[in-house]
Amino acid sequence: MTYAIEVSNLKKHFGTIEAVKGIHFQVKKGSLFAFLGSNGAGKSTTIEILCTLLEKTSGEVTINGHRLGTMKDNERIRKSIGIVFQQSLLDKELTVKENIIHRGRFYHLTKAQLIENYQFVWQYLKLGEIELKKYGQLSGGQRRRADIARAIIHKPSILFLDEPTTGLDPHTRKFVWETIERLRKEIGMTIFLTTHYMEEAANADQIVIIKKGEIIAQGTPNELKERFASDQMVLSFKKEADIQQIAEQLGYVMVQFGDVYKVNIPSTLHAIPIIERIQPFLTSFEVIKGSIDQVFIHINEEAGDMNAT
Amino acid sequence: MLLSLVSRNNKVFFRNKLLVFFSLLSVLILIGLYAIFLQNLQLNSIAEYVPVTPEIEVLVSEWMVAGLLSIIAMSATLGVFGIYIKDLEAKTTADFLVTAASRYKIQLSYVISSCIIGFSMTFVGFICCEIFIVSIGGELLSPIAMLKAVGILILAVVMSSMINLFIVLFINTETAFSTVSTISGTLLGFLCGIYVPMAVLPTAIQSAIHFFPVSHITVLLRDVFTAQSVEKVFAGYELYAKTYKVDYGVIYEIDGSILSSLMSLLFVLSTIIVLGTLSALVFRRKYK
Ligand SMILES: Nc1ncnc2c1ncn2[C@@H]1O[C@H](COP(=O)(O)OP(=O)(O)OP(=O)(O)O)[C@@H](O)[C@H]1O
Ligand SMILES: [Mg+2]
Repeated sequence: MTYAIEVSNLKKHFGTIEAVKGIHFQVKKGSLFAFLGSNGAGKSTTIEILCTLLEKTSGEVTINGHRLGTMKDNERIRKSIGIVFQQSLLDKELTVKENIIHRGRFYHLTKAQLIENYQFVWQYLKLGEIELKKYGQLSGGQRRRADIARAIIHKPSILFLDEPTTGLDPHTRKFVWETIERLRKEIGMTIFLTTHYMEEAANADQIVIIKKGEIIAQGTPNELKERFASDQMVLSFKKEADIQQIAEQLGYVMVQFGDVYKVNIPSTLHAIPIIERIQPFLTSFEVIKGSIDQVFIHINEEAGDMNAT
Repeated sequence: MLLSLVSRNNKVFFRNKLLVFFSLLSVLILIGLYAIFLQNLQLNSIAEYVPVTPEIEVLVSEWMVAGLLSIIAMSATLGVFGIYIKDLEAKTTADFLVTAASRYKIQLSYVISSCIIGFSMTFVGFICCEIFIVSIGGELLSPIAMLKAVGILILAVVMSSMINLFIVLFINTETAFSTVSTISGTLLGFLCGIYVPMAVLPTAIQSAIHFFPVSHITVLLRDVFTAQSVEKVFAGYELYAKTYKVDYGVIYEIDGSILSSLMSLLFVLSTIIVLGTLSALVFRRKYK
């Protein structure tokens, strides 16, 4: 059993709305899996199905070897997963500690186990300064820490996070990321997260990009970059250079941006022969590797065109 | 785990000032109305039958206290179900459902919380009322009457919890819930014949009130609370005692015969059973 999550032909309809249209993917144990999509793509819907909160319309889901669907299996699944929801769901009236301990009790943990687990999350998420504060009085970043602590109070083997960093400042975002990374590396937790940001998916083991309920691309960050992000050359020429003539020789489209010219090329290596050819006219040049951000924008636009036709 | 859910609900309730305030709102309204004019209105009308004695004021207060306590049970239990609506709307319920807690246990926890909190508030109310009665020169209830009163209050809380459970199962938003709370808080006083005594109401409305289960709690409590004072106030005017009791809803007269306390009790018990069963059915439909 090398997969923590296996999903095949998963569909979810809300009346006539097809929120998820038959998706397939697998998540390796102990990996970081990023589920990427813009608003309304179906990310939360998929997570809610995997977490037993929403009934699927059809398809097969296996989590930690348990087939989603029957009461018994759903119960086993719940024990082994933790979820950080998109919205904050802890009780604003209670302190962070009260919240986490209460939720912990809902898992049938023994008292000793609960205390031990609490100490674990306390140390992992640095709850020292906030544990006695009311959840309602915390800042967005502090809430996220409490949310994550609550999600792992029963030490699940899979952690789902629905847009864990949306609306956080860069510092807290970094903290959340480090925590996720540590959970994965030190404890071997499988991480399944959704995000709008491609840059966040960059350190994932696998990325699935979903749009309007369909998977439009998947692979490792590098594979996606290779396929979808074009590399770029930025050139600046000597005053006397005949730009017109150079453009004709190039074999690629060249576009002017202020006093520099940009050329999209399939890979950085393609730059070498071009540079050699036009070297006499150059004052300087730069070759930029395609960024992962581009991938998302590119794929989304492409899928948009596909849908339009 | 059920207990953990209940203890969580209780904590959330008592720390949420708005919930507590709303669950006491109808009680505050009643005390206000009573202080402003209800008390005088009644003092004057009783004085038409019998000579004015200090006992009349005690009687009127005891009568009011009985109404007050039956209202606390209703509004406090409804207030606790406010947590259910809040959880539903904020999707907190989802955070419970991913644990080992089932929907059924979660729902049951609200019911238990509403009973516990409903009873604590009613019981505190009961003690305050007794202190109030004694402070204006009345007597404490006899031990047996006290037991009766507590018994009725327990039934009141359980029934109120069932009625409110049934109602909130049809509500999904906090906005709708506040509307229902406000309506319920206003109507209750009328439907239990507290703001306006029975005799003043048109016959059709009187009959409607006879079918309102909570009003039977009020009747039962009034009978227990006012028993001693009625004897004193109407000593020598026994004929008027019955008129007073019927006019002020201390006892119900239906089709010319007096409804016994036992009948009221049975009505309350059947309400509990019927609404409990209906709620279970609605619950299963809602979350099938
Ligand atoms: N309960 C529901 N009833 C009807 N439609 C729904 C329901 N839940 C979700 N949808 C629809 O399903 C689609 C997917 O929604 P979902 O919340 O999964 O998107 P998402 O990818 O999580 O978006 P976001 O980034 O905004 O959180 C949307 O079109 C949404 O309107
Ligand atoms: Mg979402």
